[in-house]
Amino acid sequence: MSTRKILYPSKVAAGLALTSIILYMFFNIWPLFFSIGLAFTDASEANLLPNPEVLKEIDNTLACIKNITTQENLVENARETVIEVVEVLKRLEDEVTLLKSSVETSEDHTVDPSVMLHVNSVYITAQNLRLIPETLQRTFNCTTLGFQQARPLISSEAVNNLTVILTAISQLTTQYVVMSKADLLDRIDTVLLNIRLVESYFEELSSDFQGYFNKLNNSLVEEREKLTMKFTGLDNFVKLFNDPRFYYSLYKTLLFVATSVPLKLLVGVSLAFLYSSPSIMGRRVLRGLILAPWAIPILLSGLTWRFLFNPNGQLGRLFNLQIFSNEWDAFLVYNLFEAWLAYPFIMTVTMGALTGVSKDIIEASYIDGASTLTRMRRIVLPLISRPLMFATILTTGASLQAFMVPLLLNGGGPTRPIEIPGLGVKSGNVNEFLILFAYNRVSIDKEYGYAAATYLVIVIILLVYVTIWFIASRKLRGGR
Amino acid sequence: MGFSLSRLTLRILATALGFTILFVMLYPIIFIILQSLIPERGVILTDLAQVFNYGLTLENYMKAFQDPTFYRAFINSTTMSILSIIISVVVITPAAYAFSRFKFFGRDTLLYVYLILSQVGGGFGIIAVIALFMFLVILNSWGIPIFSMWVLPFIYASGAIPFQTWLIKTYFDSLPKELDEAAFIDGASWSQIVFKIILPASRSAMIIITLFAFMGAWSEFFVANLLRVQTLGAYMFQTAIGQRGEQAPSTFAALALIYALPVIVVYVFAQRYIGEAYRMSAVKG
Repeated sequence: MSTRKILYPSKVAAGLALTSIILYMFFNIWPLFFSIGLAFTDASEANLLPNPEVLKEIDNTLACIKNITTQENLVENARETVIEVVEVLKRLEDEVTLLKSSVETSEDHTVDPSVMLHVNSVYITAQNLRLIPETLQRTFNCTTLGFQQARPLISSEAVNNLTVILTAISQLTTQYVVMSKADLLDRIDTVLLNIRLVESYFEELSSDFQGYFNKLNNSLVEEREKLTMKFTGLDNFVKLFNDPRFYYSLYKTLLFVATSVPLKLLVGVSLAFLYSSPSIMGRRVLRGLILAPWAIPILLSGLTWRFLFNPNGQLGRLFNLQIFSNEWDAFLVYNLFEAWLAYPFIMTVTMGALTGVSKDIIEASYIDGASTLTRMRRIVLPLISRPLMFATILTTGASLQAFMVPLLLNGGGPTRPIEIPGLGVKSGNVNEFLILFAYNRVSIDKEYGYAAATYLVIVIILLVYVTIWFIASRKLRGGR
Repeated sequence: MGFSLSRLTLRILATALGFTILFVMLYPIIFIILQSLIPERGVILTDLAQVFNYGLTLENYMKAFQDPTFYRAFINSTTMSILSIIISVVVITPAAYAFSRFKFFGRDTLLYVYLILSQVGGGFGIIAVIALFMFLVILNSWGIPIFSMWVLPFIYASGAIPFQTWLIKTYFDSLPKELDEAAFIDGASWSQIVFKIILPASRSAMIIITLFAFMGAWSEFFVANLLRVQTLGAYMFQTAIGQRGEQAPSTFAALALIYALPVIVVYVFAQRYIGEAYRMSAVKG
């Protein structure tokens, strides 16, 4: 121990290992902790990288509102304008109502002098509308108050409606002689409806001037808040545990573990036994070749399987599989693909264990006259069971964390409404396994806070698996 | 006589079975190679007769480098792989040496953490990468533009640290200790020890790191796509895995095979160490 300390000073060791530790901490460990913090916020693309123009617009408008509502003369001026608008609209409404009743009572509206009279006065009153948009613009103008780039304070819909009314009335008054009575009445009704709509808007404004601006102010503040990231406590977790998609994803992941692990083991172990059989000629070469799926980058494998099982591809056609629209067809292909990707691993481990089975023992068992079955059960199985157990645990982990398989084959699709009793319905991808589920919250929804919370829960699930793995491997090692 | 004949029949039958199963298992690979060799007609192969009708050609491979995006992606991938190899070698070799020979605070804990992280599967890695992505987005929003392609090799190198440190540490463990101890006792300076003893002894270790770092960096597509770096993998992922791949299957099959070839070649060389690594995990695990 002491010579070790002298010969290998820990200072030097720290120097040698430090860069790797720092690199690993910065790029792998620290972001994990960082994202734990993120899980308690409502971080999303909208509030992490908000449009500065939009922010400025909202701030300017808020300042402008404050300016208008606090300065006496401005308030007075604005209120007067609004009251005037309401008066004009009221007068116009009365005139149009009168026109309507006169048209209704007249036998032939094209020659009735009373109708003509009313049309005339409607036209004259309507001319007052012509100047209103401009007056409003002048009164509620943030630019002249020194705030460029602000939102309109008066609903632009209402202002536009004023122009619409004016145009409609002009048409009505110039063309009423060529219209049928029903058509004319219909048009008058539309105009009346429009007038009442605008009138109610301006009436609200004039009766509760301060209230209107308070409401506008609050809605802007709310919008501003949505664009700033903030601490939301456990909201993300509450949302996650009420998300039907999450439970469905958990169910699908566990189902995938339950189906794919036995399949992988079956394929891997049977291939190992087959290619260990001395009856096969050239088995060394065959054994090397059959491990080929291991050598291929998963992207190429994914592309190949996508082509093969495409509804227009060879195997997709042959077995009539619709991986892009049928939930269980896709799930079946996932299982096959996962087995294809994993059998080289299982096979290698099993073959490694089988070569460890000594020839002497086998020969001894022949001499003792043991049957093939007994030989299998008593000699081969105990020897390969331990490595196979390790392989099973590792490959279970791979299935639990399956991500590339669904991502490459069809992105976790198809999409349909997912219903969990008691939690309602939400539209989502039905084959999103856990890790893909959280990834899609990042890549599709861009809700980073929510995704971080999801990952935190997944890490806890994985830690349960790691603990089982750890205890099991301890036991297996102890049993040696 | 009859006994040996039936034995021969058994051998022939077993061999035939062995070849049949090999064909079935490798069918996807045969398929994608054939697909890349037929002229581009916008169809996915469904029948062997199509191969005879269309004939085989190398034109899809010839055309590959005329695609400027593919060419640029190829250059990007090469750059990223070389950088990631350099960083891995520079960072991991001394660390593995330290883990093998020195005893320092937190050594065993760290080794355990590395072991667990390199064994539990890809899930943690992907979570860490996405966490890193969100971290970079936030740094970016604070005005720190770390979001560039030069971060990528560091991410690749650091992601491989647990596995490679273990692998190389095991390699150093197998080298005799007496050599460097003698040098220490003879009073060699640190620079002499590093250049005369550690570095020559690490040559094989560096080759192993190089092979693994290359395979990792070249075949990787997920992180590159996330950080919007156009490497070959990212380019393939964005195009071949999607609508465009189905519209031009032969072209993209050829591109994907060009992308995969270097990894397959390196794999053949590295196979020995891969087997070793798995044995290590089965023994140490």
